[in-house]
Amino acid sequence: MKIDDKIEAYKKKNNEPKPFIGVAILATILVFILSLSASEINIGFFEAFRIIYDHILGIEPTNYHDMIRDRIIVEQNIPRALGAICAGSVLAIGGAVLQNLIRNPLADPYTLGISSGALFGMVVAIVLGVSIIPFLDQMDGRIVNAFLFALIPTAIIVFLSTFKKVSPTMMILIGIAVMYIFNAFNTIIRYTTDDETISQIYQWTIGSVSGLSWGSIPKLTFALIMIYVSMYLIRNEIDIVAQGDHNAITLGINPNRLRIIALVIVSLATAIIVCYTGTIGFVGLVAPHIARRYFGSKCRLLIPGSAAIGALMVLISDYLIRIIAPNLPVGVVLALVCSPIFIVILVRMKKNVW
Amino acid sequence: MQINLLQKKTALNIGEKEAVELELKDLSFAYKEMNVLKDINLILNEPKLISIIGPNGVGKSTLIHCINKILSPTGGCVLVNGIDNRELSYKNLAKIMGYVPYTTVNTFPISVTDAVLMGRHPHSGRNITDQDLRIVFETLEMLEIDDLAERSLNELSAGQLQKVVLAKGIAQQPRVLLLDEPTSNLDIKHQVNVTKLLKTVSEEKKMMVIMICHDLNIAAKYSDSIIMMHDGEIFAVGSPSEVITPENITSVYGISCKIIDDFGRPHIILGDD
Repeated sequence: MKIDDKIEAYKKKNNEPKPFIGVAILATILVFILSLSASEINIGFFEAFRIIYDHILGIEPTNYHDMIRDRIIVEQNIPRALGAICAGSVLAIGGAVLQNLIRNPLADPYTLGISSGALFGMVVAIVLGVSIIPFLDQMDGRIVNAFLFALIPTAIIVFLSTFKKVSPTMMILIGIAVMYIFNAFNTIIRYTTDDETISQIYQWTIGSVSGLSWGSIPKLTFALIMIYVSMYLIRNEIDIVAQGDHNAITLGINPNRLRIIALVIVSLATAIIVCYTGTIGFVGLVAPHIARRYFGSKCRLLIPGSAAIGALMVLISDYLIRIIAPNLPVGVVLALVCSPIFIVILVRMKKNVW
Repeated sequence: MQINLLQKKTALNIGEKEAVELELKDLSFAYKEMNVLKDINLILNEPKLISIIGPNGVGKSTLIHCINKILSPTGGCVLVNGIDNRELSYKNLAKIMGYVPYTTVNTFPISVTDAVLMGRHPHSGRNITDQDLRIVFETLEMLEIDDLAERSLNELSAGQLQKVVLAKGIAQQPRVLLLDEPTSNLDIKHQVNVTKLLKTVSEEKKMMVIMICHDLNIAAKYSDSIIMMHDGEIFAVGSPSEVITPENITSVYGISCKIIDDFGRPHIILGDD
């Protein structure tokens, strides 16, 4: 084969559409549509469309029956599903990027202590009523707190790697240690506060998308767009660092600087998600691995692929909750439904992907 | 490792055909208490194939890491055309200096083509052109691994992987190419082929090729000059026949040997005791 043909073949292969991403996105849209009518009271599948159609046209519901359904679908189900999509994608992108940058298949916002840090920051804001930056409204105060505490594991890693050589495996171990410290603090706070606050905090520790309203959607969408765009812009650099720090340095990239930038952006996006949904584990770890199985480990496909699969995972789990067991937290169903699927995918893998 | 978030770096523009001069000035490096490199002074300014030889743990890899800024020397400096390499950004340095490491990380494997294409990053960044792809495929053909182009790195043998990493270094088209034991996993035929290829590259592309080599006979047969290291210092520098002598080998490696002449190149026959 001549070189020109090889160049064309490579470009063609690179640009050809990837059916699996399409499948994941289509499935997400399908589950989204299905989930519109899923709630504790019985709403017909087509009735849901009629109600949304009426709502868009501005037709006021004429009876109590329709009014309740209008309220449930428009005020609860739609933002809840949108929130699930944002949370799943953000955590999955965060996991995919951190795994590549730290070169460890166990890295994700949860195992690096970022989620726990954010949760602790928020608990501090709720229980003590303390926001580190004053003059913000309640939710912004919580987000800022969560972000600053989510930066603590990053700061420890950066601090140590300036004075000592910290290997990628050590970064994960530091993250896990920090996660345990924050979890311990969270437990201590729960023991020292009143019952009402405990139940308030409990929602966040188990992770749930059930309480999301339209008010949360702008910031959740912002988190998704921010992490997606910024990580996609540095995708080549991430791929190079994934092949080793020496490789990166001699190709003109400062690997530590790239890790810091990525950790700060992932921390901010995770902090926003945690403030609305609490800590949802598992999806950040597993969604990227499923994506790697189908798209390989290059960020150009891995980032959109992880985002689509992460969104689908959280959305399906939340859908199942709504039709089967309304009070279960989404994290439980995620683990119950997706773990077996993940194990099957791992076992059926033909070649070692990592 | 240093973290410089805001520091401005000096720019360095070296033309296509312009010679690069590396000067190591009182270069020292110490890990904690242990002095690995001791006051090394050396000037390299010709596009030749240069081999660094010496026993294990003598500081050969450390020397290379100080040159390409993976390590920061604890004393002295490395000057690239008169500019301290710490003044240059990684990006500027990557345009003129390539590196083929001894070990490769293989956590999340990618395809051979994509791995070699990374070598083009210092020049093209995000915008990969047809020209970059052409260089990649030409390099793959040159190293006779074009049949592996579509394979994933984790499916390759150690020798094939070593050639891929080498291809990345060559595709980077630097003015100085540093290699850490580029032939250690290759069979004798490929050792000879790769070393010959490095010699050709240095001549045709006017590239300074500096490699760490453990096979003294291969180093002696193909290198233009040899740097012999001993105990963190440079023991001898010069042409193969100047450096590879029975006395030097005995002092540095502690073994006895005979040297025979092979068309002007020394050839080592190991002694019995």
